[in-house]
Amino acid sequence: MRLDSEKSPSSDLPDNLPDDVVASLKARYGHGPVASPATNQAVLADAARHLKAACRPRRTRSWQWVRAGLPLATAAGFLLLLIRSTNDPPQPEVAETVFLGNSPELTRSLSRGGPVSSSGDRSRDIDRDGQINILDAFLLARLVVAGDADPGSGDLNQDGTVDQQDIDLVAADAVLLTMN
Amino acid sequence: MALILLDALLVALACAGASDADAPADTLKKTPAEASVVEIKPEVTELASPAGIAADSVRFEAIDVFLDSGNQPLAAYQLEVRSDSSGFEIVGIEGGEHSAFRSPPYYDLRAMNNNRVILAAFQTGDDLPSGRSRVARIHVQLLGPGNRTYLTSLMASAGSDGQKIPARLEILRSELKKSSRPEW
Repeated sequence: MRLDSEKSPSSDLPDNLPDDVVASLKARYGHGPVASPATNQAVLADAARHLKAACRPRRTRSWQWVRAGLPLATAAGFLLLLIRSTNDPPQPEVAETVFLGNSPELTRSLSRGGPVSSSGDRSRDIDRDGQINILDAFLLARLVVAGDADPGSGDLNQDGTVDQQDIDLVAADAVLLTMN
Repeated sequence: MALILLDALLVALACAGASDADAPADTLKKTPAEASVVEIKPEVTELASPAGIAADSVRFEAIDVFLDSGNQPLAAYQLEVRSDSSGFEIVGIEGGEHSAFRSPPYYDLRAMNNNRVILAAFQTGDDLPSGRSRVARIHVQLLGPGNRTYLTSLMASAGSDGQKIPARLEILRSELKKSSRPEW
């Protein structure tokens, strides 16, 4: 659509064109469809409304902050965790489960940091030789059988009695595998 | 709001980690067993595989574990069996032949589908084996042909009074009878 205010195509023609060429061009392109002023006003008003809607902010600015800050906060969190994990000292390997020998029904799960974890608990070194092995469990078992077990040092699970469960804790420690 | 929640989550994670770091320092040190562990040189045993095994075949074998304590009764033992050969996995542990060690020994369940196991057992009764006796049986899964090399270490053996006694550890490929059934 061409508006009244636009220049006619003939005004853009170079001055050095021959007159017959100019006349021919004017005859062919010099007049196109002309819109009435009312139509032009309606079109302009509609365009103004469209532009106004297009330029209006869609959402609140805080949501834009969230969109911008979320990746940054996530990255900062990962960085924090990474720094913490590299600074933490290596923890001893702990078995998830240990088969408790003579009592298959006693096979249980061990959890990290739990009461039966392989934490290097010195109380399980029953014979105090610096190692936790089956001989510690055997010594505790012989003490239990003889009725000489000391609840103060032998009650490893702190249930008030020194029994097979305490022996199993020591034996479980003895056979734990450390995984690379 | 989402940012606040995320920050709260990160702070909570940081605090949880900090509580671990606040643990007493001695719990982070080496365990007594690690600090004074005695290096035991493992013995190497190569067990032959049958001929004509296809490269992609999977088969199961049983490894018998014997201890010979001579003329002294054996009341407790702890040993390690390992194989670094390819296509080797431990899939089961069985007890021994003598009544004192017929129940499966203590072992870490992580040995299953792994290449290493520590076995241990004791008996407080009077009926104890002496001489050479099978104390355990290890069931393994083997992939493909070839002999497998095993590393074995006797970590402890003791008599009924708890005193350490010498013993000789030996492993052999089990000749399972068709009628024998493992005691799981």
